[in-house]
Amino acid sequence: MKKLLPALFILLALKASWLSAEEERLPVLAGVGGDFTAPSSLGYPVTLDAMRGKVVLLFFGYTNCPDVCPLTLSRVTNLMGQLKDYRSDIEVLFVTLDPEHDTPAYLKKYLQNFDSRFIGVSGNREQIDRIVSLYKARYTRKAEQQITTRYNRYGKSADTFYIYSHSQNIYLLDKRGRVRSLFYIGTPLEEVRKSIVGLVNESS
Amino acid sequence: MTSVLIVVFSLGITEVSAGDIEVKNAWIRLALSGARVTAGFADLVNHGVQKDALIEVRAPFARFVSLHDSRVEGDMVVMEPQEQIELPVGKQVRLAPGGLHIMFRQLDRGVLEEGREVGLVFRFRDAGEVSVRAVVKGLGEMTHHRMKH
Repeated sequence: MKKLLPALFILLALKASWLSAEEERLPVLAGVGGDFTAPSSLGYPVTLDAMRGKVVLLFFGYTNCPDVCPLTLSRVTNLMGQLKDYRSDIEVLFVTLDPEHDTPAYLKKYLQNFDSRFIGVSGNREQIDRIVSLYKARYTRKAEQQITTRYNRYGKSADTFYIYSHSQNIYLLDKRGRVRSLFYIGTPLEEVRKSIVGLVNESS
Repeated sequence: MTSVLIVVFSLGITEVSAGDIEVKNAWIRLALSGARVTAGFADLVNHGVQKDALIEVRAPFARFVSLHDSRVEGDMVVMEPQEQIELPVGKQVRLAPGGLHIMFRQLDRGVLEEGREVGLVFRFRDAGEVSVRAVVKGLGEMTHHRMKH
C-alpha cells in the first residue's frame, strides 16, 4: 500500500488538474490532510482552523536546502504576485523538515526573502512528523559528515548538518482546510493560479 | 582579502581549462538573507580522450563545500551527496538549478554580492586544479529537463 500511495497521489493530481482545466469543482481529496497546531514564524502557534475562510497553500522544505527549496519558494512568490487581488484570501504555509535549525524566528527572517506574509511552520520533530503523516508526505535525511567530497578549509569536523529528500507536493487547501488539489514544483503556474482563484470564489 | 579577489579575477574571461577540462559559465546563487547555504553552478566539458571527474571545489567564502545532485523522482525531491561528478569524454556536464550543484555552507556573506565575481578552485581527478571566476547572480531558473513530469 505504501508504495501505491505516490502513484495514487499522481493520479489524483492529474484528475484534479484535468477538472480545473474544465473549470469544474475540484474534488475533496479524501484521506489526505487535516488540522494541526505548531509554532510558527508569526510568533504564535498556527492551526488551519484559525485560517478558515482562506485558501491555503502548504508545502514542505528546509532552509539549509541550497537549490530546490529557494526555487519552489520563488515560484510560489511569483504566483502570489499574479494573485495580488486575492492575496488577503490566501495563506502560504512553509512547513520545515529541519525544525532543529529552522526555528520560528529563523523562518520569519528567511521567508522575508520571498514574501513577508508567508508563514513558516516549525515545532519539535514529533509535531513535524505528525504534519508529514497527515499529509501523506515523506522525507529522509542524511548526515553531511558522511560525505567525503566535503572541503573543509579549517580541517575541523563539521557541525551536525543534514540534507533532506522530501515530498515535492504543494497542497491546495480550501476555505475549510480540506485538501482539494496537489501540485508539483514543475506544475505550470497558470494551472495553479486558476485552481486557487476557483477555491477563493467558492462559498465557504 | 576582498580587494585581492577582485584584482585577481577581473581579467574578463568566462572560460578556463585544466588540461582537457573546460569550465564555463560558473556562477553562484546570491545567498538569501539569513541563509546559511547557497549553491554554485557551471558547465564542464571534457575535451580529452579519457574520462575524468570533478572531485572537489574550494571557495574563499565558504567553510564547507560539497557536491550534490538534486532531482525530482516521482513525488520526491531527492538531494544526494556526490562523491564526485563524472565527466565523460566529449560531453558537457551541466551543474544547474534543480540538478547537479556545488553546495557552499557557513558563508562569509560579505563576499557574496550580486554582480561580483569571486574565485573558486575546481579540482579534477586527473586534470588537476583550475582557478575559476564565478559571478554572483540571483535565483536562476530550474533546468526543465530535470523538473518536468
